[in-house]
Amino acid sequence: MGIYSIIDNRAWNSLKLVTDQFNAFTTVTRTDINRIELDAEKIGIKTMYSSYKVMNKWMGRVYIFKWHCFIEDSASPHNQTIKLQYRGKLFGEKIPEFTSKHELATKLNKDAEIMKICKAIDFEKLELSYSKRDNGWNIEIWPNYGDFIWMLIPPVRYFRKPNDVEIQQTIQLVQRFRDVFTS
Amino acid sequence: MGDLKLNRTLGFWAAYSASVGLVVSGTAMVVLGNGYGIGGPAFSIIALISLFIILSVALSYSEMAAMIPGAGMVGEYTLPALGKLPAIFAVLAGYIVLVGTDGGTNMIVGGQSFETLTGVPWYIAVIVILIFLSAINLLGVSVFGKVQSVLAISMMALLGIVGLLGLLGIGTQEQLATAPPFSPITWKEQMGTLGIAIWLYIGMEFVAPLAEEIKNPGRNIPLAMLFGCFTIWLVDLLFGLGVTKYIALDELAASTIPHVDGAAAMLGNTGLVLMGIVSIIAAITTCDTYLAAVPRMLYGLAKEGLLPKAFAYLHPKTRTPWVGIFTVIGLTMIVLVYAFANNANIDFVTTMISVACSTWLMSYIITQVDVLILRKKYPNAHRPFKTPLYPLPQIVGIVACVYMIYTLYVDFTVLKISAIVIAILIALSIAYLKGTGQKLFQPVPLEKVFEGIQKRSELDEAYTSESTNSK
Repeated sequence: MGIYSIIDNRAWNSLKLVTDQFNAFTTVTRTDINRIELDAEKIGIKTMYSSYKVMNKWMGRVYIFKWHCFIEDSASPHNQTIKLQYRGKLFGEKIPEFTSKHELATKLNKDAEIMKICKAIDFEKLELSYSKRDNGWNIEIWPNYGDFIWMLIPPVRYFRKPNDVEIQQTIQLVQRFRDVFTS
Repeated sequence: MGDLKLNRTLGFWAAYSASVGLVVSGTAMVVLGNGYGIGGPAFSIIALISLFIILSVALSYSEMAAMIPGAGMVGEYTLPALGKLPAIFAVLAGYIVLVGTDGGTNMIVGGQSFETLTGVPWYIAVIVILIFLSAINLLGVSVFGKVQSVLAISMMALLGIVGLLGLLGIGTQEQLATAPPFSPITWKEQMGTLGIAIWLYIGMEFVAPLAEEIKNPGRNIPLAMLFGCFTIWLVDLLFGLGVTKYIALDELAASTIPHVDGAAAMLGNTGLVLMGIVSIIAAITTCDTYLAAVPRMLYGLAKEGLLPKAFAYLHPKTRTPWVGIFTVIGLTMIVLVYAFANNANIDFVTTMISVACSTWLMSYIITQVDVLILRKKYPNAHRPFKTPLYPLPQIVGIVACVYMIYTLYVDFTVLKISAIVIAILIALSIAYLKGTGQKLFQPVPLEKVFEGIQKRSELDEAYTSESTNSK
């Protein structure tokens, strides 16, 4: 067992700790290496799991926390991708905006609840992709909590659990997406 | 992987690999080559003494990391022992100064290697690399994955192989007509290099935070560190003794990239190219690590209210923590601008390494004092690892660190830069604590520290339940 597997174990433990924080809403059903599945049906969607995107560095590693969700929807006629982008001036107010050629993005942009959450939580990435083959939406969320950072020089490991508001808002966001898609 | 809890699953070899896995950097190579250049083959003895000193320090780190397994490391150990001001100072002195000085100095070493290989002035290479790294980190693009293990292993292996080839005289250039003296300087002067020799083992205390996962930590941690450092010492010894047969000590002592020059003297152009390329990549990736990791950490700490809110700022479009990234760039630039003004000679590089060493050693002293205070204050607290022969390693460690700081401060420039850096750190810490209405020296109860760790990091329930009754 080398140094990276030791650090990886630490990171997987942190992934579990962050995911367990959501037990007020749902429960963990399966734990694999770098993938922790939740009972998504409890929150009204098809699947939901957490994982880390690992960035290797020489003197350290950065593990970026990600959520993956799948929401069933057979109504959309074609494949499409909607991305969340932020606009705004440097050091000014940030304005979240969903961008896509398709009109669903406009609908999301007009949704006050979604906009409020996107302003409150710093998302590094939020992407919604519709797959006609799977009849549903794959959602990838990179919130700015749960990241695990490890550096050798100076020796530091760091990770931040989400707070109660962030936990609630994450679940609320996913459920709101479901409502918008199926309405 | 059914159970993700931190179990004691790691044996001796895992602890060993954590200890030596990456104890190598461009600046460590400079210290190695420069140390042998100044002290001759006798530098091996100084390196061995500093090995035992860092071992004493690492035992304290192991005890603290096992007792208070918080992500805040030395900052978290110091809160219940000495209070908030020493805690912030220990973190800033130990980590932030290190990032600033090591980041910039590594870039210079990489730039000088580039200049030797291509003839392009070092500062142009450094500026181009820094702009490139800053841009990719500001834009949130990830590169350089998967290079780290190859680099670390190749650097250590190259050193060992080059040293061995040199000692055996296989495939090498002509040896020097006369062998260098064993110790070209007095032993008193040799002892003066002790402070900087500790840099050879930088990062080896990383095994300490793994104390909870290591089987029989009382045996395996000290053994892994001892054996790990001994291996590093052995590789360094091979390189040092090998290289001094081929290159004049004066030349080695005066070089900004002695490891590259030494390899070139021994293996000709092959040695130059091999060691040069490794040094350049090492410099780039070290700086990239700092730019990727430190700003994220600062972002998280700011979100928790432990740092000014500005660090939690994300650029609206790129979603990267620009304030943190510019802070790291700024820290690196201070060293680079100073180097440019002072022609980045070996005196400058060793001065910056010495400044980092001195503040890093202060952070070590604080950790050892933490062990002494917490043993007295919380004698029954849950300690998965206890320092053997307590308090001897702590006393030896503190005395040695004080002595090493003294040897570094004999150089007035090091003293002057350190004093400025320390004054700035203390002033900023006091301003922040006073501004947020916090007491400077009032220790935080251990239970409160555990509560904090539990809220934002990882901690077993066992700690809090045991600690409450431990006082």
